[in-house]
Amino acid sequence: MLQLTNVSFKPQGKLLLNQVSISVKAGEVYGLLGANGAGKTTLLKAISGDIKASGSITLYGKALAQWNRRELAKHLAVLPQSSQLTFPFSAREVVALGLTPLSLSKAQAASLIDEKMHATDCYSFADRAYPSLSGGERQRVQLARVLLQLSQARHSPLLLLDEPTSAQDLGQQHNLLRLTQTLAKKEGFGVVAILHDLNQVLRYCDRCCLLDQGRVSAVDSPDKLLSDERIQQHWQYQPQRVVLGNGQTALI
Amino acid sequence: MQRSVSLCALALASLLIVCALLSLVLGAMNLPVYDSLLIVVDKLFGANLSQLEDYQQIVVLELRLPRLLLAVFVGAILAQCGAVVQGLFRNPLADPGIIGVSSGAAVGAIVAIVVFPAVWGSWTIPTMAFVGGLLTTLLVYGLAQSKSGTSVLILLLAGVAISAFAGAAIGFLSYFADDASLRELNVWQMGSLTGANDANLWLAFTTMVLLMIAFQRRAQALNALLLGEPEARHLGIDVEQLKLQMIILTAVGVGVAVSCSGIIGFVGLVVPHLVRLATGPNHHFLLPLSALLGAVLLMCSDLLARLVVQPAELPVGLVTVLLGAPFFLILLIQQRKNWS
Repeated sequence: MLQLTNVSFKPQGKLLLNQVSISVKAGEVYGLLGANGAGKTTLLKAISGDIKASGSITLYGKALAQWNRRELAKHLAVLPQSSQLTFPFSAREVVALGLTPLSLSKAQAASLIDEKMHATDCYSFADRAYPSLSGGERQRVQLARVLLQLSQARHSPLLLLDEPTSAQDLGQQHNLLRLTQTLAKKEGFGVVAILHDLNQVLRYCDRCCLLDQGRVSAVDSPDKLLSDERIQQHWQYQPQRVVLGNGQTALI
Repeated sequence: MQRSVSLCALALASLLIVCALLSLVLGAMNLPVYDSLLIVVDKLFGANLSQLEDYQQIVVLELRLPRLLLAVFVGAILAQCGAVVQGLFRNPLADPGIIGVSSGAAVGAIVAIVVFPAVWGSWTIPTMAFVGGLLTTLLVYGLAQSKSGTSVLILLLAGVAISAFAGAAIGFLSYFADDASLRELNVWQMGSLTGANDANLWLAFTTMVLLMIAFQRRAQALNALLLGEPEARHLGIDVEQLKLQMIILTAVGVGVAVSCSGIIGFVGLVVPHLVRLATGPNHHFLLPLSALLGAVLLMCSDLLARLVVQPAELPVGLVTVLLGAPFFLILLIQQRKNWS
């Protein structure tokens, strides 16, 4: 669904993305990995249109710039790493902002808002003021908003996650990743996520792309990609491996 | 939420009607309520029900009614523009004055008063105020443009610098003004609704209606913009276009308001703030309710301005600042905890 060909970004002479070519399929969770400064966030911004990179980025064969704004918003959504609000919207009102590109009746909208808030486990604080929520709660509210935004997509939508687990406690990290995995498997979402925890990558990603100084170093399934040598090379860390009861490997 | 919005709207609408009635009957000459109302009905429908004397009719129809209508229109315009600017800058302390609209309009008007008093007759001052406001806004907006879009920080800082420059220009022009212009200039700088006439009433009314429609159409986009510019863009909104539209509309609104009534401070700052406290920041409700409260506030202020030192009167801008500033400080102190 998403195809990047020779995407480069060079602001003020500094090459932040260098000829990146990757493709993401519908129904897969695609991890973006790399050390700090490798270009993960820049790449995500190039896909979301926040920066104008050279090269071609197409969604369903159509260059992103050719998409009608509202149509694109129905098919591509970004979960921000953190989101501040100066004005005290309630959590439900923040979720309702996901209706912006959609055309729905009031009743449909209300039931969809409830549905997304249940799915992301934030229904219990729907009426609380957004600024009073914890970082993790805010991010779940934002996720509900983003899912609402994608609820009228004609093709499988693309969801971009910028370090989605950074503000969550352990349980919520897994709830959130499990939810995105379900969206990919059951509803065909393409999910591109920046993740730092390699165990989460091993557990939830179907494929991942390892970035190094703005260029693609490797693309593969996580268990093949995350060899000891690569981890040592990219993160200067020598991991130990533990084989779990279910046959999976965990990195320590 | 819906209930508190309806309650607010109802309360404000009732308050508007009561204030309008009081504005018609109270003043240096107190008039009977019933007959004052009837004379308005007579005027509207060509009936002949009122028992008022001719001179009393003149007071109601030619002095008080135009004035109260101008207060309603200008109050509604200023409060809506305030709400939009605060939303646009995601800053509850923003005010149309902050991006230089008011001071630009002031310079325009003062140039008209001091340098060429009557080129286009009575339209000279309003036109120049409007042009001054629009030019300053475009200048500030132009300065804030960069490759990555409009920088809100530069917009605010440029607004501050331009306002300071405008202040100096006004001082410079006042220095060369003769006594008569100086007096006019003074009243005008403190805001006054005494200039209400058919022409500026129509101008203010049309502007108010157009702004209400235009702002309401973009209410959802303004809500989304509160999330942040990238987030709004991801929701399918053309953020640059929205910002430009809103800034030009605000410049038009404030330019028209300033040209009809001089500089009236604090309405644009305090009113949206109060409405947000009651019903939250959703622009779908914030904009119309701000318009209502702005109208009520300016009408009450004008009534006070007429009553306090009667038979003379205070400039209404002085009253709004006298009421608004302490009120705003109280709000700030109450909310200090939330913001720190």
